[in-house]
Amino acid sequence: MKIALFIFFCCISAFSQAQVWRSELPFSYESGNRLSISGNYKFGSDAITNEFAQAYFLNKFIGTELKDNVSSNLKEKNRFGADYNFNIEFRSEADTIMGISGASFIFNFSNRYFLDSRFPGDAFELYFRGNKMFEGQTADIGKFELNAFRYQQVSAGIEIQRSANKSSSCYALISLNRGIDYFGIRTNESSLFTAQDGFYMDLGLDMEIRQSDSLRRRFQGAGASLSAGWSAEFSSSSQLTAYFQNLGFINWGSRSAYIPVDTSFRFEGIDVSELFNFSDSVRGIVDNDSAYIQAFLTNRKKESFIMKTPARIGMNYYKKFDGDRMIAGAGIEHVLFYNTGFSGWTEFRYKTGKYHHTGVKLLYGLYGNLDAGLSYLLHIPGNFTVMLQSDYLVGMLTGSKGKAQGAFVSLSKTF
Amino acid sequence: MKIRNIAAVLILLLFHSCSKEYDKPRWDVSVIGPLVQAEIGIGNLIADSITSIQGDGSVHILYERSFYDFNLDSIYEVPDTIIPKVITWPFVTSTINPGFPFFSNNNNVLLGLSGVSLNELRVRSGIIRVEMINTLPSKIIYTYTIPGAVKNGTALTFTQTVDEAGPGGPGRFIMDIDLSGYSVNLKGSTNSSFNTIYYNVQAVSDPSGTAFTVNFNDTVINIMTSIIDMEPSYARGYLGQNFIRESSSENIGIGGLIKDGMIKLDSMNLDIFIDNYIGADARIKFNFLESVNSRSSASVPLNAPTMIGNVININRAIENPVTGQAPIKSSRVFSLNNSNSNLISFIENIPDRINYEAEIEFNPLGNISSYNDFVYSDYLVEGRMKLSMPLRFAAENLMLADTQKMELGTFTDFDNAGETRLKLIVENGFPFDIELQLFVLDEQRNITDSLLGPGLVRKANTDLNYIAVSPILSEFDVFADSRRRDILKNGKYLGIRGRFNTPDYSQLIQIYSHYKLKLRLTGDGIYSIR
Repeated sequence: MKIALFIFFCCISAFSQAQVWRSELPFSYESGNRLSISGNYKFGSDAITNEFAQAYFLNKFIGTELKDNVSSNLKEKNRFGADYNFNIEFRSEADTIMGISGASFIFNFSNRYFLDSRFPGDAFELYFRGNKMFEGQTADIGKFELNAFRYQQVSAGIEIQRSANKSSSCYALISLNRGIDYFGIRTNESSLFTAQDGFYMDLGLDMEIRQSDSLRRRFQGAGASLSAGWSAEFSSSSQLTAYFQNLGFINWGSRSAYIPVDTSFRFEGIDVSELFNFSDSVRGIVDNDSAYIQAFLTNRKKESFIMKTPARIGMNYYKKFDGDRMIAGAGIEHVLFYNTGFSGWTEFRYKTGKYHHTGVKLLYGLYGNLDAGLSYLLHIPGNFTVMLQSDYLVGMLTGSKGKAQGAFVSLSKTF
Repeated sequence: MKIRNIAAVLILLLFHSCSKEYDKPRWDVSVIGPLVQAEIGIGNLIADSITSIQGDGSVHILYERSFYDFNLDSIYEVPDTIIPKVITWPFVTSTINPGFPFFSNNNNVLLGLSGVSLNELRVRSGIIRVEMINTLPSKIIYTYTIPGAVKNGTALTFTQTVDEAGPGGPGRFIMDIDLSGYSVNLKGSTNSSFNTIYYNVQAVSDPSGTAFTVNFNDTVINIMTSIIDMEPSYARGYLGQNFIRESSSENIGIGGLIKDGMIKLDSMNLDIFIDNYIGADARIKFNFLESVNSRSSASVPLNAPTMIGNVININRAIENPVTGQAPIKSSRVFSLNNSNSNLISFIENIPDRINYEAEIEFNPLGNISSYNDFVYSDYLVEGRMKLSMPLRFAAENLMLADTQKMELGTFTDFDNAGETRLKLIVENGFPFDIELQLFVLDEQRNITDSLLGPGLVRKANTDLNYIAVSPILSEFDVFADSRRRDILKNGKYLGIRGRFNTPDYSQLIQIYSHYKLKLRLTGDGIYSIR
């Protein structure tokens, strides 16, 4: 049952595309109360393929072909990232708040996972193929970074809509963050040299490892975030939107582990000289823990640390044609503090009939991929709205070569 | 309805795509790297405590060990002794009033010692058991004292009330008294006897009881005293004129490791010490002393006219004025070398045992100490040998073998290892060839697999004086598959066997402290990450 619930949750939250505005469509100003549930997941990389990521995250065997497909994409520096989010939001319309009309209260609960990494190509090869291919060579494992964390947010805020002449709206949300777990590695200049025949290995390592307390699962960290957006129509047919989301932090507790490593040593094997001591009936004990681990993981500390949440900042522009049957738009977005790049996109939406909206999207970015997506929105009698969207259909449909995937699904009801 | 159907199909697909086969992803890596290393110097082969490094770095052996230990039982031992004491009322019918001390008596217990006349014992361990039987119709209070048994300045004494006789029989009481640490006077109640402990018993009628009548010949005292498991730490007196002949066989060190081959040695000195820690004059004669090689069944008797077959007179030891210290020994030393003995042949036999027969006679001139001989249980007569020789030898097919216990059964990291090529790289800085073999042995020490060998580790390059000038590398490949992995995991011992050959046999080779044998084992194989 537990596994089934987990899988269900995984699947629900797996349809991804983070929502950037409070309604699914531009030029859409809804009145009344609204309850929505949405989930999204996204994976992207400039080197790691979908097949590889799928095998890794679904705990399958990673064969040579999967590795070869990644290796052919590897550059000196590479990136990958993934996230999934699950949201429940309730908007309650109020006539006026402090004398302001068109105002609504917003309450939101989110469950979020975020994974982000920057890695040298040698690090991938070393980790997934071993050091044999570096015999007589130096593998560069420097400038590596990995952040993986889960957290929950409880948010409250206000949205104000004005639709008298030229419609405009704005919102602001403040979130309380609860950290669930965190694991992070960061290396500076680091390398591993494997001598011919494996005679010895020289490791130069400048690394930091941070991990939240693995025993205290209930409340590992706490913080806050701020989200805000503004949207306005300049004429009756064009709309400009600007926003930032999730700008904040999580302070992970004082029982979090911090392991700084700055070492350079040559490993020539575990010293077993004592085993050959014919002169003594009491032989020494060879401790491989001391030989392998304690040699460089000696400086362990417990301390709190502050982590910035992955904040998104962006803006977009839409224009209506033929009444509201066709909408075209473009936008840019950037995730702050992590290894994702700028992304840019352009979109065309078409309304077919009273209840159906379809859209096509072309985008570039996040982890450096050019991709295309489709969206479909359906209004159902009873004030229900269902939306399905993926921005990474090319990545998902190009099989072993694809390096991105993602999906978004939402269900909302106004009343 | 349509939407519900679509949603159902979608959820089914998602369930399928999200299913996980294992707890973690798995992949194989090709790894190469060092596994273990060892640097073996002369300090590994021979203990530091028996080697000395000369100014030029050459190694000398200084080997000292005991080969003869005298047994105290040969002089005396205290047997378990039981002395009953029954005393009857010697008078006419009398009335004993309450609280009346009606009997007191000194009694001697003669220990069953033979050949010695001791006047003092210090007890390391042992007990004295006292059993009191009261046949009188009143409770009796007994006070039992051994005035000559003293510990921390206090004589051994105790008082015990024993119940009166009743329909069920006489009153009875048994007590064990620990004699450890007591010094016991063995001169008896007259202070002129030997080997005799005396005790005093006093009987008092119960002060709170009633008067009772005893008739002539009634039993008034019935006490059983037993000496049990007494082990002295010290004895004083006359130890007698014991003549003892002992033959024995002693295991000695590295000879047991050598399984085969021949060795030729250089000059050496062997000092044999006979140390007498007993306070009695002694006369010792070694009838023979021989080195025994059990493997070849060869025995070489020591031919040393100054020592073997000659009577050796050794004076008595004297008490150490410092309490608790060993007595001051009296020693005789025999220095044997190449010119006054067949010492080289004796050692070249590579003995794993030394056999000997010795005769020892104490107090050959009688009781000249006036009962002041002494003996400590921990300090008797000891024979020691001290060998001094340069580590300069020639070896032909000299084989050393040893086993090392190993426990890899629980080493689960092995399970992930695939086919692996192990490479053993040996850098030999010693001027002799070694044929190296490694075996895996089961619980019964049967060979289950041969990991290596025999592989020839070639000797270092030498100069004209056979001094090693540069090491030589030798490499050996060992292929490890799943079958061998299982054998290793199930193995209980690692057998190591080395056969040594010095160049141009009979040419003596000096060993220097800087000579090293460096081993390095690298692995090249597949490892499954799980």
